[in-house]
Parts: sequence; structure tokens; C-alpha cells
Amino acid sequence: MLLDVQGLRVDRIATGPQGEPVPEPALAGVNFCIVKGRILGLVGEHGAGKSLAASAILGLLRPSARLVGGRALFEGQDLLRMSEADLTRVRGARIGFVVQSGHATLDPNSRVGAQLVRAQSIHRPIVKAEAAWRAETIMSSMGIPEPRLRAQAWPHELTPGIVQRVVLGLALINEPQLLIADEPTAGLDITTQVQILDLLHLELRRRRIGGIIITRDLGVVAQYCDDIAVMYAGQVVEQGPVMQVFARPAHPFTRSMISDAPERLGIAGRQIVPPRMEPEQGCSYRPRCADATERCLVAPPLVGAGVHAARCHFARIAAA
Amino acid sequence: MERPVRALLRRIGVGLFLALVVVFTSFLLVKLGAGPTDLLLGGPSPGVEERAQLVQDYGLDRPAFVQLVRYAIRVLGGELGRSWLTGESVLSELLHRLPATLELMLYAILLGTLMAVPTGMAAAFARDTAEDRTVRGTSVLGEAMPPFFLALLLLLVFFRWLDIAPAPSGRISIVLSPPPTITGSYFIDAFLMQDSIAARSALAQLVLPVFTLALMLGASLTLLVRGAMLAQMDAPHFVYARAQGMSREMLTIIALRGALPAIGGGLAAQSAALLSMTALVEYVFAWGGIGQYGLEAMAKADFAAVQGFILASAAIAATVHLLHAVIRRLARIRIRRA
Amino acid sequence: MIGGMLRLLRVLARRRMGAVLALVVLVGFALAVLARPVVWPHPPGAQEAGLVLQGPSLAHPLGTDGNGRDVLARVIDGARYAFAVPLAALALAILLGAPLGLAAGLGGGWFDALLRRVFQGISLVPPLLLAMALVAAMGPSLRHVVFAIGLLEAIVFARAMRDEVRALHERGFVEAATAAGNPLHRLVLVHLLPNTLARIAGEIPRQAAWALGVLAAMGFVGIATAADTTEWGSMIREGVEHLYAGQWWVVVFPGFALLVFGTALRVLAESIDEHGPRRAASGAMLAGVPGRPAGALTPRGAA
Ligand SMILES: Nc1ncnc2c1ncn2[C@@H]1O[C@H](COP(=O)(O)OP(=O)(O)O)[C@@H](O)[C@H]1O
Ligand code: SF4
Ligand SMILES: [Mg+2]
Repeated sequence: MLLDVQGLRVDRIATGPQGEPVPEPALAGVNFCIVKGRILGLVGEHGAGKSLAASAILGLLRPSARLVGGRALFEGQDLLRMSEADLTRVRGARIGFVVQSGHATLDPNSRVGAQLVRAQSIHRPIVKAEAAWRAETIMSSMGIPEPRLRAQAWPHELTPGIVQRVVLGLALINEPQLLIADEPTAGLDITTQVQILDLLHLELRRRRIGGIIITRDLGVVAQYCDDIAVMYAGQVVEQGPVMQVFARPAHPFTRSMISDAPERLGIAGRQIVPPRMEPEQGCSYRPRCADATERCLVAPPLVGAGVHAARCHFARIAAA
Repeated sequence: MERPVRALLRRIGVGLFLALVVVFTSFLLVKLGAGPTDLLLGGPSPGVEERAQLVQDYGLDRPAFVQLVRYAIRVLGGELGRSWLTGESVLSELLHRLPATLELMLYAILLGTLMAVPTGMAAAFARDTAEDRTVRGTSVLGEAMPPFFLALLLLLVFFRWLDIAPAPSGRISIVLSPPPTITGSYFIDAFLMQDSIAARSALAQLVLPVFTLALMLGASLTLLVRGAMLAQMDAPHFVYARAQGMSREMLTIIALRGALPAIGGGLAAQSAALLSMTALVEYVFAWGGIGQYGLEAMAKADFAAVQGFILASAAIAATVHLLHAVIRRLARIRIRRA
Repeated sequence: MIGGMLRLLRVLARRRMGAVLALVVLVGFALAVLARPVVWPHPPGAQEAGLVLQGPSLAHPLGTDGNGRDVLARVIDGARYAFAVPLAALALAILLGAPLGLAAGLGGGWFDALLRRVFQGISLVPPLLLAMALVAAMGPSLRHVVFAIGLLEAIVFARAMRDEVRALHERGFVEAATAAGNPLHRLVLVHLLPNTLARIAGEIPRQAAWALGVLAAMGFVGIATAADTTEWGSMIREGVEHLYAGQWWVVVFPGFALLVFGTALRVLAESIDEHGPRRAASGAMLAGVPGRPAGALTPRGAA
């Protein structure tokens, strides 16, 4: 087990009608795990808390959110209880992170090559020439033509596709064991999306490292991932191997997602804000669930056999 | 036409227009004034000949529009008239006093920046803590502080009570004679002449006015630095820098470098406020710069001098903006894509 | 309206002690002005020959000035100027600036561009100095002070108004309202003005603080009023020679009054910036139906 997230709970600090701070649960016990060398697709609607979960795991929460509980065991160590100094040694070195809003992630005030060199220098002493050579190498393995020339470019001089390749290169240059890519192709045109995802997939496989691809596109999961975790309103409602989940989705939300994929996931720009979670209401999907019954007023447990599990009273899980 | 040439012409056109607006404002000043223009310019009781000369120079017997055009031509030709109080040419008096003002402003900017940048950065990193709130509270207090009152408070403490600061009697002790003019800064000139007594006196006279201005400027600058740093720290690339595992020092450098344009822009935008504060502080310390000259001219209704002072202030502000634009260009501050 | 005020107060009370304190200070000054003639035995103008430049004592808690007048009475009396002049100047500024900004924002085109450049040109002259020069030219009178400050602050309000209207315009707000068949006056009165109110109101404390500083600077240089008033800047001017001689109270107390009053206004401005109604230019006010601001107050985090 490379990363095992158990019961991750995060509150968002909202402002109440009287101006007082009100903590609202934003992640209500998130569970998922990644096995070395496999790729997990983390899917869910816009605002389900996918980015929030990734940020929380790496200790990158903004002041408007607060960690409440849970564990995130990375090679046996709990990231959530690590000191900031220790976390700093994990970030970028052992876990590479491609944050959402891709093109804005490069430092606008440094040349691309310098950023790749700097990324290496963060975690170990470097020899300048060697680091520069490594920077060029990784640029060319990211499919960037004329890497030597491009290394001298400023981020704003590059096309979004090239920028995203640089961002991938930055995340991989220290040879992490795990790569988390948060919507790595958002905002790119379709052709570039496919190229970037092909590249990402290839690199993850070639380096035999674990990956989490956060996306709203089930097609991406089907094509590039081994496992899937479906998030709804701050919880993972179903996790399992892609083949199995797609063949026999156990949770009503997963089923509805698969049956009318693109629109539901807000790809067409539609935003579906999940209803506020009120634990006393029972299952958080109940207001939208076609299969809901009286029993659903009680919060459903995680029902599962082996690697496939779902959070629904009526989860239909076939024994693997 | 080529694009750069056109852009340049456009800039020159805009600059000319702005200059005309300023000249018009200055012209309006005496037109709005109580009393005939020649009395405003020539003092309460000019001689018959002087009066006739004024009427002729400014075309005061002609329609207002002609007067405006004449005035604009005179001003753009560098002719600012004579002060009736001193009988001197306003332009030469302003030029003579300019170094004193610039010296004060320059040191204040240096010291103020030196105080504000680390403080604002610390506040940004400690966002929403007690430390941050203290810094912000103090800054708001500083912004509300009337500059002349702060100057007087410092004088009360360091001159009257502790007796370690010299009297507010100008740029050098009244028993010493000023050094020969090289740069116009008494301190530097005395230093260059190896006149240590004069240099020490000039330095001592500088301390309180510079400190007053630096504190005033530092207050608003601190808030500016804090805001600019916070904007950087909220930017995706900063979050990403953290995700890369960068140390606090590296993060500071990244945020500061990103905040630099905003800080520079803010400093340039503060130049008008700084000029106002400098005038009031000069007035308290009898500094003998253009600020004191202008305020005294206002108090004594010496309007050729007031007009000259207003034009000079605008010229200084415009120079600062121009300098800022050039520095931005030179620093190749790159326009970020949206 | 009153309900909204109460709500605002409650929000401020929870989130911002500073703003509450600021309001308390301002109300305190107002009460002191009203109560002084009744409860304080020394009128601000009364000279007591034997009591020149007395330090603070029980009878004269803030001492007496060079003419044997009670400094406390004079400091309290000076608050009248601190309220009246900025308020009058603000009224003038909004009356002049808002329509100008509205016209520029709605009309756009050459008028907008011209106005922008004219403002830019005028702003090259430091506004404090320009206001002072104007008053010096027109002669010492509070009316002139109000006029000069109001004129220069009108630029601020015109710019704010113009930006707000432009922002609404950009969002298709004007088109939507016009398409719905609103005539121009209805568009302006019902749809535009209410949405710009927040921004205009938000500027008020900051501009009041600026006006107070300008008034005091004019008083200090001696061009604002005839002579010998209780305006704090002029009190400081009169006291400077005594300060150098060690009679600090003549200067320090009016100065503190200025500082406290000005700080209260600026703290208010800060908390409005942070917690007050959002501006159209930043988008959040448009959450509701066109023409109806989304609640008088959008709490932080809701946007
Ligand atoms: N790093 C973070 N720190 C604090 N709050 C966050 C962070 N990332 C996301 N959020 C908040 O968490 C909530 C869930 O959104 P998000 O995780 O971005 O959804 P998704 O990525 O699934 O679309 C949002 O209100 C968002 O503002
Ligand atoms: S527990 Fe009930 S409401 Fe929730 S998903 Fe299952 S069937 Fe639907
Ligand atoms: Mg996201």
C-alpha cells in the first residue's frame, strides 16, 4: 500500500449570518488507497472536495479550511501528523503534485529551465551543469521540442500545452513514488488533452510509480486508470478496480454518473453544488437518489467485499 | 507608420495634454481667487508701473481665453513670474530650494522602505495572528497621523525634553555657514569638503524630519507590502511552490519577487502624498525646501510663488511616474497572461 | 433601513471590535460637543487673565492656553469642525462626482476618455497641496475649505461611480435592463444606483478622514479660517511656540483629538473594505436579480 487515506475529515470555516465563523464539514470521512504502480482515478462533481482532499493530504490547506481528523499513511507514515519540516521533505521529493489551474502554477518570474533546476536543488545538493542537463533531459522526455531553447523561455512565452508538460516534468524530476495530478488537462484543447494524458500515463507506467488522476471525466478514468474512487459531497462513495466498477457499479450515484456521463459531471460548465451535508439526514445522496427508502435516513456504512466497496445500504457488490 | 513610433507619439500627446490640464489648474487658481489677478500676483499694493507690467505680461486686459493661452505659453517656456514678497524669479527660487526637498524625500523613501518591507512581509506570513493585527493597527494609526503633529511630537520629546535633537531651524545649525554647493545636499557637500563640523550638524538636522517622513510613509507602505505579499501567497504558483517542498526562504524570495511590481507601483502612487507630507514637515522644521516655500507663499498670498509651487509639485509627481514607467520597462516586468 | 443598520452593527460587533470602538469614539465626540455647554463650566472662548498656560489640573484637566482659555473646552468645541467640514465636503463631492461618473460610465466613448485624462492631469498635483492653494487663493473661510475639499473629492467619487457603472455594463446588466423595456431614468434610478451605493458608501469614511487631515493642515498653516478658532489644526498652530517652551499640552491635546478622530474614521474604512457590502466591480453584488442587490450585506465567505 503506497498511500492509505482513512477517514479524512476537513471543515471549511464559513461565515455565519451574524459574521461569526461557522465550521461546516467539507470532507466527511474520505477513504481511498493506492497500490504501488497503479493509477487511481478520483472522480466526482465540481465541488465534491477532490482538490480539498489532495491539499489536505499534502498539508496545503488554506486558512479557510481546517483538518479535523483521519489518517493518510504514506509508506507507513501519517502525513497528517508530520511536522511541517518533515512534510517539506516529502512534497516534491516523494510525492509530486500537479495542482489544479495548470498554466498558472509556474513561477511567472523565473525562466522555465531555472525552475526545473531549482526544483532539484530543493531536495538535494546539485551540480549546476548536471541539474541543467537533467532539466533538458526531462523536458525532452516530456515531449518538448528544442528543450535547450525552451529552457530559456519565460512561462508566459509558452503555449498552455507546453506549460503543462513543464509542470509534469517538475512533478517528476525528483523521481517521486507517487504523483497526484489534479485535473491536469483542464482548460486545454481536446487534442492537447489526449497528448498530455497519454504522456502522463506512459511516464507513470515507465517509472512504476503510483498515480492519482483527479478528473471529472469518466472517459479519462476508463482509459488511463486501474482503480476508481467516486466522490460525492465530501465522501468517497465507491472505490474499486475500474473494470469491476464500470461493469457493476454498486452505488446509485456511480450508476447515474455512468449512464449520463458528461453533463452530470459538470464538464459542460454546469456546476452542481452538492447539498450541504447534514449527518442527521442520513445518506448525503438521499435527496437525489432514485433508490432511496426509509432506511436511508440512517447514514449508510461502507459495504464491500475485497477491493470493491460502496457507501450505500443497498450496494450490490458481486464477490470478486 | 510603425507601431512603436505611433505609440511614442501617443504618449507624447497624452503627456502634453496632462501638462495642459495642470497649467489650466494653476491658471484657474488665480482666476478663482478673491480679487483682481494683478493684485493676487503683484501683492496687495503694487506700484503703478509694476501693475502695468503685469497687465501686459499676462495680457490681463484681454479675454480670459487669451490670458490662458499666454499663461500656458509663458509656463511652458519656463517663465513662472516673480514673487512680490522677495522680488526674485519664482523659477530660480524653486530650483535653488529643490535639492533640500529632494534630499529629504529620498532619505525618507529609503528609510521608510527599509522599515516597511520586512514588517509587511512578516505580517503577511503571520496573517490573521495577533502579530499581524498589531502591525496593521499601527499602520492605520500612522496613516491617520497628521504629519505636522508627528513632527511636533518628536520635537517635543527629542528636542525639548531629552535635548538630543537640534532646534527645528533649517538644514544646518544657525551658527554655521552652509558648505559651498556641490550636490545641494548640505550633508554630502560638507562631507565632500571634509568639513566634519558642518557635516555633523547637517546630519543632526536631518534626523528628525527624515524620521517623521519615513514613519508616515512606512505606515502606508507596510500595508501595501502586506497586501502585495498576500496576493502572491494566494496565487496558484505559490501554492505549487509549496507543493514542491520549497523552504521558507525560497518561498519568501518567490513571493517578494512577485510582489515587487505592486510595491513599486504603490510607492510611485504614494509620491503625491509624500510630497504633501514633505511640505508640511518642511514647514515645521523651517527646512527651506520648496514645500516650505509653497506653504509660506499660500499663507502670505504670494500667488506667483503658489502657482510655481503647484506646477513644480506636478512636475515632480510626473517625473516619478515617468521614472517608474522606465524602471518597469527596464526590469522587463512581463505582462502575465490572464 | 434601521434593521439593516442593526444587522451591520451586530456583524461589526462579532467580527470587528475595531469598528465598534471607532463608532463609539465618534459618538463620544458628538455627545461631548452636545453636552459641553451644559456640563462644563468653562466656555471655549473665556479668557482668565491669571490662568495663562497652566498645566493640566483638576479645574482644567487639559490645562489652559496662551490666552488663559480652557484647552478641554476648546478641544471639544473643535470637534464641531471635524464633523461639519468633512460632512459638508462629502455631500458636495458626491453631488458633483456621482452624476459625472454615472455619465462617463454609461456614455463611455470620448467623454469618458476625456474625463479620465483630465482627472489624471489634476491628480498630478498632490491633492492636499492643491486644496490648500485653492483656499489660499479664495481667502480664509470655512465655505471655501468645504468647496476646495469637495471639488477634489468629487474626483474620487466620479472615478468610483464610473468604475462601478462600467463593471455593471460589462456584465450585460445595462443591456438586460434596457431589453426589459426600462427607460433611462428607471435604468439609472432603479437598476444602477442601488448597485453602486455600496461602493460610494464604502468610500465615505476614508474620504472623511482625508478631509479632516486637509482641514487640519490648512488650519496649521493658517489659511483655513480667519484666526483664533477652535479648529484643531489652528489650535496646534497657535500652540507651537509654547510647545518649544515646554507647555506641551496646548499642542498635544488637540493633536491627539485629531489622531483619535482620524484613526476612528480609518478603522471604519478598513473594516468596510474587509467586511462591508461587496462591490459590483468585484461581482458578488450581482448574485441576485438585476436591480436588486443581493442583500444589504454579503458576509465574508458567502461570496
Ligand atoms: N487547499 C484548499 N484549502 C482550503 N479550501 C479548499 C482548498 N481546496 C479546495 N477548497 C474548498 O473546498 C471546497 C470543495 O472544493 P474542491 O475541493 O475544489 O472541489 P473539486 O476539486 O472536487 O471540484 C470548496 O469550497 C473549496 O473552496
Ligand atoms: S443509502 Fe439510500 S439514499 Fe444513499 S445512495 Fe444508497 S439508496 Fe441512495
Ligand atoms: Mg478541484
